[in-house]
Amino acid sequence: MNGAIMNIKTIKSDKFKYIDLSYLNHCTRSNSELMMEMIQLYLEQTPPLISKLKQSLQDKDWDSLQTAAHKMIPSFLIMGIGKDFETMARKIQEYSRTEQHLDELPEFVLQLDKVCSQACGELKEEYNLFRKTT
Amino acid sequence: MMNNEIKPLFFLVDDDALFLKSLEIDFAQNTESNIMTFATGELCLENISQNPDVIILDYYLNSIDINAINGIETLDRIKASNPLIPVIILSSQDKIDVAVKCMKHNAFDYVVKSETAFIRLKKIISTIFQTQKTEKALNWYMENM
Repeated sequence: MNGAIMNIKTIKSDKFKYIDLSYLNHCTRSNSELMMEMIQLYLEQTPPLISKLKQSLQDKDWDSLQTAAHKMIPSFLIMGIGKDFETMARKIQEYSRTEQHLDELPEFVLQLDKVCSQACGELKEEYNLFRKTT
Repeated sequence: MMNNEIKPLFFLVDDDALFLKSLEIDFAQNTESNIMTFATGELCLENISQNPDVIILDYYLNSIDINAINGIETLDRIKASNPLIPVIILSSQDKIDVAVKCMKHNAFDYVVKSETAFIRLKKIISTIFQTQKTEKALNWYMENM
């Protein structure tokens, strides 16, 4: 967790990007229309999942929290978001499933909220760039 | 073994639209196949009469819509409808109990969603077709000997 928090601070000061589209680029064979479609799906799907994550935590609804975290996991790989954050989502899933280390969940949810918001911002920029060039 | 001699039909079932699309792209770009995608187990079952050659099914199918049937229930209903359709279960969870549960419900195999998931799927599908081919040949010999 600490590594991920430090990562965010570094990112803020160095303007480091949270996303890396290498994997998406490879999967789509650089097909910009497919890349735009995937980005659009991420932008549609992720904010409701983050809202569900936050609401479930507030309601102490551990089943719902587990499910929301679970559903986010593949998107970290697809959008090239750091492995630290995927690990964080896996911990949320595991801790809410076992109802252990519950005190760590608010910080994890906060961190995922931050990283996904930042990723959405970056992906919107990428989407607009694709749109201008296609 | 296949619906036609040219292209097999694959059903891809996942309520994660992003992952489903990435899987569809992988299959479209790397296999000679017909692909149908479904966001729920219910939709998959509604189309089961099309007799797909392989179904790739998400384990956690009711995470977006909690009233939707889950992956295991979908698997059971597929098998009740046609026990010969091979079903491969996909999940983000790398858990032995999940894998065992899937096998007990007659899944052909269980694959964890990761960077190498598609490579594993391709290998498993190849094994499925090879096994079916061998069984078909064996049956032919048994009937004609």
